[in-house]
Amino acid sequence: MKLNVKSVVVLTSICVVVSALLSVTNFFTAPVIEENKAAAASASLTVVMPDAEGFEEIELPADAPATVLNLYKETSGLGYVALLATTSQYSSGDMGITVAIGADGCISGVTLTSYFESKDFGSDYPQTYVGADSALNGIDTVSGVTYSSTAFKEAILDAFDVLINSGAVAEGEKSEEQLILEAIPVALPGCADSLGSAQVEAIDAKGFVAAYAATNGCGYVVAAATDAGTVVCGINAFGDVNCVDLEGNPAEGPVDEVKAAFPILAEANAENNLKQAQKAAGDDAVLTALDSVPAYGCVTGGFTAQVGEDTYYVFNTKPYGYANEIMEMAVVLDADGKIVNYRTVSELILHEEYYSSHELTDKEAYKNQFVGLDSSTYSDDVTMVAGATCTANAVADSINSAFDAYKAVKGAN
Amino acid sequence: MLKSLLVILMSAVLVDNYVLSKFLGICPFLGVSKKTDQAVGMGLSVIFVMLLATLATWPIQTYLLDPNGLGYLQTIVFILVIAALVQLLEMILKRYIPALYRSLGVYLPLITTNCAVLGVTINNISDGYGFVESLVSSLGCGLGFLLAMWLFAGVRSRVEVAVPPKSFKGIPITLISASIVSMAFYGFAGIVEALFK
Amino acid sequence: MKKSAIFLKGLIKENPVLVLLLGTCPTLATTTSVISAIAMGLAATAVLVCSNMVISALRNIIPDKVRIPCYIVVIAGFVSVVQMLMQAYLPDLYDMLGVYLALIVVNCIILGRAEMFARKNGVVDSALDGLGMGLGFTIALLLMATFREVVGAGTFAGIEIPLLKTYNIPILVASPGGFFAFGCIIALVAKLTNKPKEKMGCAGCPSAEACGKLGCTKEEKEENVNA
Repeated sequence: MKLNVKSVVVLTSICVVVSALLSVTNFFTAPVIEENKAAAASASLTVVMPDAEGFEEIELPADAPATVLNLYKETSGLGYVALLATTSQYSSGDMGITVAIGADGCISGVTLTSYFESKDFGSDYPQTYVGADSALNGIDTVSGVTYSSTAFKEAILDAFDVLINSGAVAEGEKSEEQLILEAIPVALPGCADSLGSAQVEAIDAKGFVAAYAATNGCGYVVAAATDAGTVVCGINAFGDVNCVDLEGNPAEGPVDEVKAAFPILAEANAENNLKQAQKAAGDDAVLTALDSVPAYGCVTGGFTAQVGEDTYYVFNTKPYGYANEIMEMAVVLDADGKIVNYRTVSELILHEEYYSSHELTDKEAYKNQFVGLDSSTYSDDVTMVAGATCTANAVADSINSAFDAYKAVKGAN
Repeated sequence: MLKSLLVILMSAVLVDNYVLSKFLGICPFLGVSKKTDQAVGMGLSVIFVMLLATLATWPIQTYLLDPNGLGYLQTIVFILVIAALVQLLEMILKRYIPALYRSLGVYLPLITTNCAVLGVTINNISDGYGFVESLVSSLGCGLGFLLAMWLFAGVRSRVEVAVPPKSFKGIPITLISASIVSMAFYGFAGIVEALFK
Repeated sequence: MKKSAIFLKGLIKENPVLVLLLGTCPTLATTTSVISAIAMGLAATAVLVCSNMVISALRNIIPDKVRIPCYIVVIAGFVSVVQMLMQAYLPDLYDMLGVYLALIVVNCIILGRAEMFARKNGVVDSALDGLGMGLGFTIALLLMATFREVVGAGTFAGIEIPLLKTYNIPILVASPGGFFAFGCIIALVAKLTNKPKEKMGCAGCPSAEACGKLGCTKEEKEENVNA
């Protein structure tokens, strides 16, 4: 028993002495370790703000977007650094971004700290943000990697939001050019992809401020100077004109001049439109081209079809699908606006969206769901296919555009 | 949640295999892998102790050491807890479950100073795992250890009867075989993430 | 034994890694680069010298029954001290070694020297023994790491070697390469000493007794008979 007592005493006292030794060491090393950690943390911030003297963390407001993880203020007043994390639809992990925003409200440096997407928007892309203020003037998303580059842009805007709302930096002014670009999808919704950005190419302005052609052939957009300021007018495939001001509200515009300046696309593409419409409506239908359809969706052509006594409407549509590839569908509506036939000219499910092939083994059954629906009974839930969001959005876009066109034709008559 | 646990488990078993890619627990791997039944017995004991050790050390670190700023005592506390745990386990098994003691008892003393057990408890903390994640990761590491031991015992039973050059006899040829088994596991890198993410 | 002999035997004649086959885990894990190998070797040496001295000084106080737990506490204490010092003053090396630094606690070289040498010898002798063994460990790690880094990555301690940088064998730096390089080096030692390495090193391992139950010791006896 005596031995056991001694064992316990010795073991315990060794433990106590060792613990004491450790706490003494800890007393001396802990502050150094803290300092090291702080230095390492600020080193990652210094990358985007090389002249920084030091950083102190700012508490984020309660309503700050979830993308903004941490916000630091440079102690000598150079500006702010934000750590951001964002996910895009196709990425498997967070995209980490460190951005430095100077006290003048301009981005002074930006780096990607982690990136998990198979498609890369390139290391140069983030650098295009340097020097921009919160208006992000002249900065575009990258085509082909739209989701990632949009997520990147949104994250940067979130960082600006937090700083502007807290009064730390001033909001940047958007240039007229930028405002025009933002008004394009309002004037001609048919040229917008599923994220709402306009898919247009700048063309010869023909005396206007600027002119653009929709890449899917649903029309043109021009910016024109009027006495009331600049207006943006969309011209659809039938030559109808829709004008909005730079805030996106309906406005008066030089309708006739605009109409005269650009060709009527439905006529220019009449041959293909007719071929596809005939296939959709059936061989025995007698087709007559519509000459005015004041709707501004992704409709590229329209016909009335006469089969015996019955009148039908056929609309050619070209929505943007996966990776903004232009798809082509023809929608046949009866005299009451109910879908009679939905014909896909392009492959319905593009091969890139391979997940969908499991869901959509029966494409005919998918399309047959639409038959009999009109604009009051249809909802986008019908077209939704999990895992093939882009393609499903495109199908929804084509159907909604056809309904709009039908209403416009009915309203005009 | 379930998915992330599965990723932790599978990467612990296959990609970050403790023996073959992190080199923890090499002594028993080379020492006790001559016979398949011994290898499996050792592997099972390690799984058992790893889970128990995590069960004990994670709460100690989270609720006792961290709140009191005693994180620097981690190493010393963990090794003592593991040693005490193994002793206790041996006593309990001997007294109450003699059948299990007879099959696993001999392996327990080897585990006190097994770096895989101490390694997994420390790694769980430094990887920032929660309690459930820690247990899953310990289970994965243990299973990985068992798998490596078991596979290698099979390989080794063949190596033992082969005749290598004289200077390669014994440990060197065993290490070379281990290298080849390790290469098989090396191929798993990247697969797990692609499969489950 | 002469003091110089105590120190020197650890370097080559009884090199803990190459001859006694102890401390395999860190030998395989930390030899991917020369720098981490040296850091690991010196950290272990520091712990070994200190723990050997303390254990030797306390050799008459520590009861035989609880000696292993006492050794473990002393060793773990020094390991923690080294960990804290490295984290404070050599943070890069600390990150490089990661968990393997903490695992010096269960390195059988250290416990083995306590059990085999320090508890039977004086403080000065124990310190010399620890220093010799520690440096022997460092030399072995350095040898392994030099081979792996030079051939595997084409660099030495981070400095690029012109031709090898282009024609390296990356798998040597990966985990299979660790086993392979160690196997080859042990075989080389066996060739030079003309003594095949049949057994794992168990010298002084506190588990050796239990290991013996699984057959190691028995076979060893048989071999002795054969010899």
